[in-house]
Amino acid sequence: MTRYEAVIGLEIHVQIQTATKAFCRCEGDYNAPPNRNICPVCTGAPGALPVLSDEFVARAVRLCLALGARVNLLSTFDRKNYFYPDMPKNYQITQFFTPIGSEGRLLVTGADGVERAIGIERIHMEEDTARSAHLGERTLLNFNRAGLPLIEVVSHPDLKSGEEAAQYFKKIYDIAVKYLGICRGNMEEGNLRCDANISIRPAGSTALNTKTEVKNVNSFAFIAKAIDHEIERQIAIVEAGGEVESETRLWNPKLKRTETMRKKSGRNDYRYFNEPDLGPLRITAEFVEELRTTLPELPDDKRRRLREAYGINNEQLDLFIGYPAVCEYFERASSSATASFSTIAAWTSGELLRVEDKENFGAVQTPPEHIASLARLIDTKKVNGPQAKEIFAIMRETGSDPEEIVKNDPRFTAIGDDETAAIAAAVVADHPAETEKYLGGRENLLGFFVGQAMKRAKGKADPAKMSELVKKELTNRKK
Amino acid sequence: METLGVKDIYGNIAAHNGALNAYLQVVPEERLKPGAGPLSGVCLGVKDNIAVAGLQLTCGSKLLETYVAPYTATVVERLVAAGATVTGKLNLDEFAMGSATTYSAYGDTKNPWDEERTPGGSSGGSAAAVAAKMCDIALGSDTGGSVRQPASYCGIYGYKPTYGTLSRYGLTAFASSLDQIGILARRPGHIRELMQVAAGRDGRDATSIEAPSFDAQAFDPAKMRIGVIAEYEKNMGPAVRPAYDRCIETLKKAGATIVPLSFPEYDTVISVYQVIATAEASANLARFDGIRYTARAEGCSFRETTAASRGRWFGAEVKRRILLGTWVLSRAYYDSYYLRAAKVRTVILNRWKEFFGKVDMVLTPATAGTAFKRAEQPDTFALYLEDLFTIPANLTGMPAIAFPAGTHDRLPVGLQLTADLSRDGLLLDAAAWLEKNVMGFATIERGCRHDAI
Repeated sequence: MTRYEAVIGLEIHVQIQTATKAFCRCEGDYNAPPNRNICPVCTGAPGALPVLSDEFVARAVRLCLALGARVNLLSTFDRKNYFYPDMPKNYQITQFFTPIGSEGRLLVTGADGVERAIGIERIHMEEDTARSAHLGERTLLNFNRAGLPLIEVVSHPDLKSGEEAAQYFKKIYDIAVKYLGICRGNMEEGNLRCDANISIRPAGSTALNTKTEVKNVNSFAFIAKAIDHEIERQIAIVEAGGEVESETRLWNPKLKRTETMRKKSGRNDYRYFNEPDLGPLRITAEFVEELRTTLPELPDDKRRRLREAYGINNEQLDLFIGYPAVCEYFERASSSATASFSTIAAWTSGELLRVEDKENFGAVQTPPEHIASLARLIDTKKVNGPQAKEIFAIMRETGSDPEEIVKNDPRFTAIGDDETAAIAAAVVADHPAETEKYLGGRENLLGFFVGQAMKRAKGKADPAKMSELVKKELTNRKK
Repeated sequence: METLGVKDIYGNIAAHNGALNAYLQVVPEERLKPGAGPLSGVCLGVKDNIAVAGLQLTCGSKLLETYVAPYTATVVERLVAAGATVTGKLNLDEFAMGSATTYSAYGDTKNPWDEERTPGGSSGGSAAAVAAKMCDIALGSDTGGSVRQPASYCGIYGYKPTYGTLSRYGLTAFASSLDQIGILARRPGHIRELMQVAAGRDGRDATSIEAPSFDAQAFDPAKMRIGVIAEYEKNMGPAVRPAYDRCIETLKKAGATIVPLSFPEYDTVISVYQVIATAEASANLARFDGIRYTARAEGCSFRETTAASRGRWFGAEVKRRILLGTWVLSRAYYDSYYLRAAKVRTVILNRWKEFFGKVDMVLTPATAGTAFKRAEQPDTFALYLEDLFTIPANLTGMPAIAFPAGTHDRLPVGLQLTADLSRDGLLLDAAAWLEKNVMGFATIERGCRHDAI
């Protein structure tokens, strides 16, 4: 039986959040009442002309840099001609001949656990279309979305599985939404849209066979499933002696399968030519370098650094990479404390996220210094686990530093080693019968002594220390 | 600016517009809003492909019969802010595609010198209105000569600025890389006054540029090197040749140096223009789909509605150019037509840049002959050839002005001066000198037989 491999490329549209639309000064809020944010330019009135938004250019350059792409100092705007009811001018202003960004890359981890670079062919700027809604036989058009800035990121066909595609998509989502903050990231509203081009070939072959395009796989929940399903479908066709047809398909999440949307009869001819109303876009190397300095540390670099600097586990790494605000919190706590990174990481990712929303972490009230100081109390065994949880609750309620809480509340004042030793000795002295049995070989009675001792210490002793001292006391009796 | 006054202008409109069909819409006299500023009292006619909020914007097309512009073009806005008053909208070939104003869906405009004849096109309404004194000055648009050719046929001045000097915001696009709003006037000084107000960068037009100075400079013909193009001579009709020779003679006598130039690519300009202009037009006119603001022919689907609306209301010439433009951009022909034309355009630009290393201005006819009879309109292709002398300025972006230089058989003859990019001021200085020394409108109008002039 032939083994197959999949060849997958993704086209991701990122709706860029800017104050204005791409080519006019209408507000970029598509959620305003229908057809509120419109003007002659974005509705294609006769005589209206596009003027490029500087903010859009700056954000596109930042995205190019974040995706490791070459920023082209001269790029072109071009007209893509086709008639569609949601296209005000019946052509779209896009970048066809020379995009703003070329040849970027992102890392994904393959099924074999090895990291691989996925090539990004091009990153280009374009305008969004109006939104249509169907009402019975009628189609309603809302032009609030028409002319909103979009960036399309087109990968090389380097992806091999639904899982890899999902990782790649998620990474672009993280970079655009969480690291650069240039996209709202609302998938239901179509802020990020993903189409997948998929073909199969015998493993090891370099042929590029007929592909299908699966539209709108923009959900982390089903992108991998949709792609894997399409791969299976194509394999089944070829195995049965058939041929894969060139077509556009749509994922049906209910039936968990892709379905034909339209057959592709020949290639569309979009009759591209340079947009004469804009002319080429020229930017300077200085402008690009200036924007480079505004870039945050990016996921691939960050993961490497966190792993080396803090030695935290993979689960915590994933969390910190996916939620930069949580990560920043962790790093601030770590920089201010003498506590161990693992305790801070555990408390940040554990107790704190049980009560705080990681999606909206900027609003957290608890200062990172307080988590650090709690971790220090734990590390130095000044408080035990149950006490730490209680202190955590008080700390969140009162906003006080854990050190203060412990100092002002006698319940949390741990007793010293001398006192612990005295209690251990007293408990052993009070239970001669049990001591006899223990010394006679019933070593499981140790728990009984420790329990009694902790009770007498009102929980303020370190259980491990107590256990050690009780054992020592018992052993001394033997002599 | 010495103006005719609202009373006279409205008198002329009442007397002649019925016959000439220059205005498609006249703002009623009682609704004129007199403005204050340097252009106070100036009555401005506007070609009906330039937006003026609240006035119709038909572009000479049935498709836009009921369309009212929702905003005002930058140029009009600036002129009105300086005191000018818009008197109405002027006839044109549908979407400015034509050379005789015979392709208007609202009837031909007639030449005030002879109503049997064309006023030229596509800004025929603008030229006729200015010549017949139905406005002080008019705006037109010039994509391949659409301001200069009708100005020449009507014995007035027609000026196309350096590309970008007047904002295109509000001008319905025909071919965006060639289109410029232009000015039609009876005196070159009027053009200067308008430009001082209207020219310059506009935040709403990315292709607009800083304006050069339009202040009058002393013009000394003795310091001028005037280029003449050898290849053009054989394309010059007998009606034009005497005026051309006379103009050269006058300049020579005044001390100008006449420099012969060679333009070996002259016979490519029509093809290059047709390919580029129709390609851009095919996209620019795609927005007229029957969906948002045009007349709508009901169909069962978007495709049917669009096809039916465009099929029913676009005129034959517009359809011809859209088809041609769609063809030259299609994948199979892009390289051999569109891309090739774009390359030859660069060659032509370089040739004209080279000219201006040697000369200050180039003198050519504006048109090969005088206004032809509307009933004897040449066939489609011969009509395209009308633009031979005017097209280079659109392909290169250079400024050019058509000026009246005499009459032939009691019809005006126009010549043209072209200058290097942004040397618009020089052109207007030269035109003012020529007005005095050759033959301005004021002189030749006396020879006119039409009572409108």
